[in-house]
Order: sequence, then structure tokens, then C-alpha cells
Amino acid sequence: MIDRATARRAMAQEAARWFAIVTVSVAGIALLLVAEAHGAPAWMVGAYALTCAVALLLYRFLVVPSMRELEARHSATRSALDHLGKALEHVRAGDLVHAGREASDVPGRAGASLAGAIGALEVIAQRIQGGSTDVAGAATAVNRIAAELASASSEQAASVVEITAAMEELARTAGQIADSARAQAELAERGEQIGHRGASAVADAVSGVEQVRERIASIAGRAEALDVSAREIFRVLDLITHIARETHLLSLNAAIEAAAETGESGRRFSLVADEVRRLAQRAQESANSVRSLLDDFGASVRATVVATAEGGGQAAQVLEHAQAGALAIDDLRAAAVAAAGAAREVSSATHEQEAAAGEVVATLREASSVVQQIAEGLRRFSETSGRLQALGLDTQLMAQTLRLASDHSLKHVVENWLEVLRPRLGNWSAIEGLLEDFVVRLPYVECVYYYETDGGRTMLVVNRQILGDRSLPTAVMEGIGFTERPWYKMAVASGRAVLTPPYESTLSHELIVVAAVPALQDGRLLGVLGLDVNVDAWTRA
Amino acid sequence: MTEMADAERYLLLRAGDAFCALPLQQVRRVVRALTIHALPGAAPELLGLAEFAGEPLPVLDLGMLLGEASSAAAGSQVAGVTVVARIGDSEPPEIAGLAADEALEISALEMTRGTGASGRHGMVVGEALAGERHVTVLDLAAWKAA
Amino acid sequence: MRPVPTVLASGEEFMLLRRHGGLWAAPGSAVHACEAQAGERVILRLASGAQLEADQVLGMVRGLGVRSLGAVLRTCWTESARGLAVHAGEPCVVIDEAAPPEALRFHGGVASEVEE
Repeated sequence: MIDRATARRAMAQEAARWFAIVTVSVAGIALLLVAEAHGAPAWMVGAYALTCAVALLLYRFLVVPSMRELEARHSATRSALDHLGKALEHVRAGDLVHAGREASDVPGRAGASLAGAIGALEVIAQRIQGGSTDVAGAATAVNRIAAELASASSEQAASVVEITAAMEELARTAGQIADSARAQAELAERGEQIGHRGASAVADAVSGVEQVRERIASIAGRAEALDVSAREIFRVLDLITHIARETHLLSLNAAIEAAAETGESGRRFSLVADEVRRLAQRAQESANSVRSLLDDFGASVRATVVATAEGGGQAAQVLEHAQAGALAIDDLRAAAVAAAGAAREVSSATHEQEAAAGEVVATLREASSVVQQIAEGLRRFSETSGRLQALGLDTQLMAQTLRLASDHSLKHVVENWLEVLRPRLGNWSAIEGLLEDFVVRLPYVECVYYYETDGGRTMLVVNRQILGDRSLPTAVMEGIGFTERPWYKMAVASGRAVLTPPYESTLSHELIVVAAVPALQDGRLLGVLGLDVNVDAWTRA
Repeated sequence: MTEMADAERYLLLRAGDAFCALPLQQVRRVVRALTIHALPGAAPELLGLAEFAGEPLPVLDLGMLLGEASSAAAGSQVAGVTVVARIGDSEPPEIAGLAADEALEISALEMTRGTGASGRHGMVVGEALAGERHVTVLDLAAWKAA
Repeated sequence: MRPVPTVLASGEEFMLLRRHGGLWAAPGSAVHACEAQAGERVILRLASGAQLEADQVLGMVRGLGVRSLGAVLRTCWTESARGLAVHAGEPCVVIDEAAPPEALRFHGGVASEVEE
């Protein structure tokens, strides 16, 4: 196909050629006319003009057609080379779909060979993509199982260690119980013997205390009688003292009266009064002396009464305790006999238990060692499977760098959805409906969004199957900072579908890759369509 | 002050730790401690009024008359006595009670030392020895206003 | 030997009072009015205008043997009185209506309590 520029260039060349021929012919004719004016023969001018006319006719009918054919061939070759270059450019960019379309426009065997080569490449790439997805899926499954196994095995190892420790404690305790039971049996036997002797001694003590109590009661009775007598004596003494004092005063007053008398009778009366006073004083002194002695005696008697009362009470208490003790010793003897028998049985049983527990501990130790080895192996296996999973993902993403006409090709998927979206660009509600449809059809996609470059508006639809009901950041929902994101920059720079390296999603915090494609119209950027692909869901899908 | 004959007979009394001797001629009666009714506004040595033989009787604290601190019969182990005696030298004679702890005996004493009129109301006239005991000799006739 | 009592007014009538535990006798002719207070308390208005306060009025008595105070009481008691007497074995002070003892005086308002 010849474009307009090429056609204009060809017409200009044709015009130039005609201009040169006409100019040369006119110039020749002018020279002949000058020569005729200077005497040259007219036939020569006519011959020259004829020759020029023949030359012009020959040029027009022989040279011009061949030149046109040549130019047509040159143009076709150039077009073929152009298609070939574009096809190779698409191949270089990994877009085998566009490359195939360009190759079909390349004529001849070269075009057929190129289309065949691209087709073969696409088949191989499709197989690689499919295979890599399977490998990544299998690696993920293996890794998950390995991790679960390693975890379970670690728990198992810990449990075995705990059980072993518990069993060892049990064995140790059983040994201690056996020793204690043996000692207890010996003690119980000794207790039994002591109990026999104790019971006899307590019976003697009860009898002795009973006799003491009776004697104390007898003493208390006598002491109380003494106390009563002493009180009676005190009363008599008080009376004697009172009489002595009254007599004393009486004798003093008699002496006073006598002093008032004069003569012999007064003197004799005075002597008698003085004698009475002396008697009264002696009576009072004797009474005081008896009172003093009786005070001591009464105090002793009262102390005896108190002491015997206390002693009687204590003796009664001792007797009561001794009788209770005798009963308790009887009970104790019976209990000691039973305890000795039980202790012997316990000692025997715990000896057997100790031996059995020892065997269990030995077995558990072996099991513990084996389980720990298994746990260690599984841990290493888990690490290896983790590396395998990473390699599978690398392979998968490497295969995805090619755009193939396949649903496995994320670039192809996002390009196709853009083509579905393109007729509705500008109709915001229609875009939303379509994006919701995308999410339903692409269950491995966390969210789908279209960022409109002119208005800076964003339509974003999330997949609740993956994200659940977690809240979403406002900045993400409103597309703030989208033009600074790697997926946006890569898509705008390349002008075609792109795939980012994997990174952690701000929504799910799981691993995602973004497939993005710019929407272009006559080379002008309208917006960018993006898919957040959840790697785990994608691999499982 | 009344002159007293040597070897006169006295009634020996105890008031607290103090001992004193009253001339027997001035003593009317020794009785068990009379019931005393306090008199508001009285001086400390006047314990109050009592009844003796149907007559009102002012009762004085013997200990305070001797210049001791108060008070006769207070806290004593022995039941106290009231000595009914003639006081002052008025005619007809005035009778008053003296509250003491104990009336000991009647004894003939010789005054070993005259002190002049001293003590409350100027009735302490000297000292004497009763056996081995130092006693203060009172003369109730020497009563005068303090 | 016994002193002869000086009977000042053997036929006179006296009102017997109890105040601060002691027994007092006021000449019946001197008592102008009695005013009962709370409990057994009584305020006596004397003809002289003085008011006495008694914890209890025991009644009227005639033929009280009044003796003069004597030197001991005149020396050891700051108050003045007509004399002393004995009623039912208990000594009593016969007051001078012109100068009743401070212990019996009523000063109005709350009944006075005299420090002994």
C-alpha cells in the first residue's frame, strides 16, 4: 500500500522528468531556429524536431511504464519490511498477539515463515505459562502442607518432651511414695507397740488422778469449814475491840471526873479508873494480837480454799483429758494397725509402679528423640518447599511477561477488558457496572480500577470474596497518588499492557501483581485500567 | 497565858503523827467521834457543828491547832474521838469539841520547855516528855483570835 | 460545871431549812413570802427585802433553844447569826434576818451554789 507522501513524491519526480525533457527539446528547437537564421538548412531543423518528438513518444510509452512498475515494487517491499519491523517490535515487547497480526501483513514466504515462527513461539509460551502456573500452584500447596506438618511435628515433639518430663516426675514421685510408705509402715508398727504401752499407762494415770481429785475435794471441804470458823472469830474480836475502846473511853472519863473531885475519894477513884483503863488497853492489845494472827491464818485458809478449788478443777480436767486420752489411744491403736497394713500394701504397689514408670520413661525418651528428628526433617522440608514456591512464582511471572492469546495471560486479559470498556469511556455508571462484572468473572482479582487521566477520577470495585468485610483506606478508594504508582508509570511509559513485580497489597496485606493497560486514542492517554491479582488466589485458580 | 503547876495531870492525845497533852482540868469528856455538820464560810480549823448532850458544839481540828496540816481523824486506822473541853477563859465558860485520832492515857507530866504562846490561836505553851514520847502541851484557856 | 445556855427566844416560831447539807432556822416573823421552785427548792423573801434559797423547807418549829455563837464561832466564822440551836439531835444556825449568811442568799436567776 502506497501512502500519500510516497505518491506525492512520485508525482513530483514525474513532473521533474517531463520538465527536463520538454526544456531540452525546446532548447534544441531554439538552437536550430538560431542556426537556420544563420544559414543552416531548414530540413536539419525539421529533422531535429522530428527526432525530439520521436524521443518524447518513446519516453512516454516505453520508459515511464517500467519506471512506475519499479516504484510500485519498491513500495511493496518497503511496506512488507515495515510490517516485519513492527512484528519484530511486538515480539521484542512480548506481545505475541500483535506480533502475529503484523506478521500476517508481511507478504510472501517471509510473512508465512514469520507467522509460523510467532505461532510456534506462542504455543511454547502458552505451555510455559500453563506449566508455570501449575508448578507455582503445586509448590504453594506443598509449602502449605510442609508448613503445617512442620508445625504439627514441633507441637508433637514438645508434647512428647512434656509427657516424658511428667512421666519422669511420676516415676520419681512413685519412688518417694514407696520410700514414705515403707517408713510409714515401720512407724505404724512402732506406733502400735507404743499404743499398747500408752493405753496401760493412761489407765494407771486415770486411776491416780481420780484418787487425787477425791483427796482435794476432802481438803477443800475442811478448809471451807476453817474459813467459816475464822470469820466467826473475827466477829468476836471486833466485839472485844469495840468493848475495849468503849471501856478505855469510860476509864478516861472516870479519871476526868475523878480529877474534878478533891480529896482521898477522888484519888482512889482515879486509881480505879486508871486500872480499868489499863485492863481495857490490854484487852485491846490482846484482841489486836489475836486479830493479827488470825489475819495470817485466815489468809492461809482462804489461799488453801482457793488452791484446793483450783486443784480440784484442774484434777477434774486432768481426769477428763486422761479419760479422753485413753479413748483416743484406743482409736489410735486401731488406726495404727490399719495404717501399717495399708502402708505395706502401698509400698508394694508403688514399687511396681516405679518400675513400670521407669520403663515408660525410657520408651518415651526414644520416642522423643525420633519425633524431634522428624520435626527437624520437616522443618528443613518446609524451608525447601518455601524456596520451591518462590521459584514457581518467579517462573510464573516470567512466563507472564509474554502476552498470549490465552486466558492465562494477564496482559491479554487486561487488554481484552480494556477493549470491552473502551466504547463506554466517559460513561461513569457504565464503567462501574463493567468493573463489577470483571470482579465476578475474575475471582482471583482483589480489585479492578479505572483511573481517568483528564478528570483525575477513579472507579474502584473490590472483590469481597477475597477481602471480606475489612475496611478500605479512603486514599485507595479515591485513587489518591495513583499516578505515582509503579503500575501507572510502567503502563504509560510502555503504551501497552504491563505486569508489575509482586508486592504486598495495601488492602489484603497478601502478595499481589498488578496488570495494567493504558487507554490511548490517537496517541493521547485517556486513562489506565488496572487489576490487582492476588497471587495465592490466582495460583490456586 | 495561864500559869500551870508542875507535875500537873494531862490527857494525852494523838492527831495524825503529832502528840499533845491537855490539862485535865480543861477536859469535860472524851467521846467517840461526833457527827460533824460542815459550816459554809468557816475557817479551816473549824470543822463544823456537832450535838453534844443536847447542845450545839463547835468542833475544832486538833491537828491544825498544833500547827500540823489537816486533818484530825482523816484516813486514821483507829476510830477517832472528840474531846469536849472548856476553851478560853470567859464566864460562863465556853465549851468546844477537839477532833483527835486517839485518846491515849492520863498522865502527870513535867514541862521540859516553854515555847510561849504559839500555834494557831496561841494555845501551844510548851513541850513535855511522856515516857520516851515528846508531846506538845496545850493550854485551851489561852485561846485568842488568830 | 455545865454552861448555862442563853435562851434568846424560847417561844418564837422558826422556819427550818436545809441548805448545803446543813440545818438553818429563819425567824418565822421575818419570812415575808415563799416561792416554790423546781423540785423541793424554795425561795424565801424576808421582810428586810433579802431573798434566801433553800434546798428544802422542813417546816415550822416553836420553842427552839437559841444559844449565842460564842468566841470560837465568832473567831472562825465570818458570817453573823442570831445563834445556834439543836433540833432533833442536829445542830442548826439561827440566822440574823438583817444579815443572812452568804450561803443562803438568793441572787436571782439560776439558783446559786456557794463554794464551801
